[in-house]
Amino acid sequence: MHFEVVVPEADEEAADAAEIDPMKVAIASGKGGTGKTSVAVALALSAQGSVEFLDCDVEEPNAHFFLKPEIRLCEDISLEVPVVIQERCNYCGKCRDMCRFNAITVFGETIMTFPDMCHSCGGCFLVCPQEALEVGRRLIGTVELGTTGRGIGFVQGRLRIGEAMAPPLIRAVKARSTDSRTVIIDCPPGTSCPAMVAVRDADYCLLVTEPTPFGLHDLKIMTGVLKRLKVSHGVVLNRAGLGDDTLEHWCLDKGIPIHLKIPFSRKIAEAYAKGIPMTEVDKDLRDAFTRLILEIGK
Amino acid sequence: MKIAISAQGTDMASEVDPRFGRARYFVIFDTDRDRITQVIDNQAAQDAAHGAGIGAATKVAEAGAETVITGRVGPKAFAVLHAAGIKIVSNIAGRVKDAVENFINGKAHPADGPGCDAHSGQGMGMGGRRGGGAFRGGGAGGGRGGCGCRRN
Ligand code: SF4
Ligand code: SF4
Repeated sequence: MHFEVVVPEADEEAADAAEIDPMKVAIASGKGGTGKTSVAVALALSAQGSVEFLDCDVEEPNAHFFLKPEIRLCEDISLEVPVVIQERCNYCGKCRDMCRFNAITVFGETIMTFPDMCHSCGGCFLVCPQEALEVGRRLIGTVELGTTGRGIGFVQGRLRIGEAMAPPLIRAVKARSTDSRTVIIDCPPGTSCPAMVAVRDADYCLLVTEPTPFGLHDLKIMTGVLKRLKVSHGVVLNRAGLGDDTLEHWCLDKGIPIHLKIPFSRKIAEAYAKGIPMTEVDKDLRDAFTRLILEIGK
Repeated sequence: MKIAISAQGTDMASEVDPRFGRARYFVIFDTDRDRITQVIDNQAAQDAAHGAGIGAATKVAEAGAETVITGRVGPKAFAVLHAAGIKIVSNIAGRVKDAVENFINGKAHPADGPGCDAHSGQGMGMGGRRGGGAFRGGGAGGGRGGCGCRRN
């Protein structure tokens, strides 16, 4: 099996795992199915010292298939939404005019709330002159905490089916992170709000992509967004060799490092299907990931 | 009786806007006076990222309309219109003038469920005080628009 790690200078010092600073690494991709979770898992398994894995892909958390954590705690996460106390409401409409999300409306002598539209901004509670609103709750999902057999701290969010508001749940997952030396954040795919919330305040973002026109298209969007968020980033090229080298040239041109190229391999694909991390079936790949962690930690 | 028609323009010759929540205008036609008595600019709802239907339905309710003529109504707007006791005539296209005439001549009838154009949602209805005003109290929170379709 061949793969390539692009380490500019693999100096002795960097190989000393004890010397790296604590860091949060976000693993993201412009679309699903690029192998983002596989890469995140491989990184977590290759990092030295205390490691924590945050599965922020809350619509489809699947890292647990590979990491097989033992879940110790499951918390419900809910948002505060207004509930009307009928006897106090005078239908003045101030709450409706306040709400940017149309989650509460008043017409004539009827007031209606739409809890699933509410972003929990708290505005309506503040403007109501009658104190006619009390705090209700809308369950958006759960956060599960546990540990893997190898001692990796594990936190995952799971969005309630039919729930549209992933960002608050992702924040809840991130808030439960302790200060491990390496925190791996498996982000939701895409470039919309949930992905941004997951990536924000990471020390580094690894963009997992494929050498195809679609991969390049998504990569361009992602790198643009990360620049604005001021998160430094680099690329992991998955299924390298399957497409052409346009994407690599583009990265070179823009000065975006390609840290690792993972070739398409039957062995990796078969392991994946069985829930076995790629680093378990390929020792060289495991070393490559260990070097990758050191490299981005610098 | 007042009828609210979602419209792309402000007069009887305008086309019916197929979208309810994000309609450009609502033309209020008063059948007693046989003319347009009010035009609601729905720009704000059009610009809203979320819940355009709720905002639009609220305006239509406040204008005192008893019937809405439009293309499609999503489940949230449906919940509001229902709570306000407003009848909905949907799947209407063509000119406002023809839509109004067809309705008055009994050629178009109110529907009894939301259209399939929005994802399912629910409203929590809160009945108002009784008596007075053109609004029915009624704690009618529209149920789930369980049409099974998803946006995009
Ligand atoms: S909390 Fe904010 S988003 Fe929710 S209903 Fe009140 S004003 Fe609207
Ligand atoms: S602001 Fe308070 S009193 Fe006014 S309509 Fe809203 S809930 Fe009722």
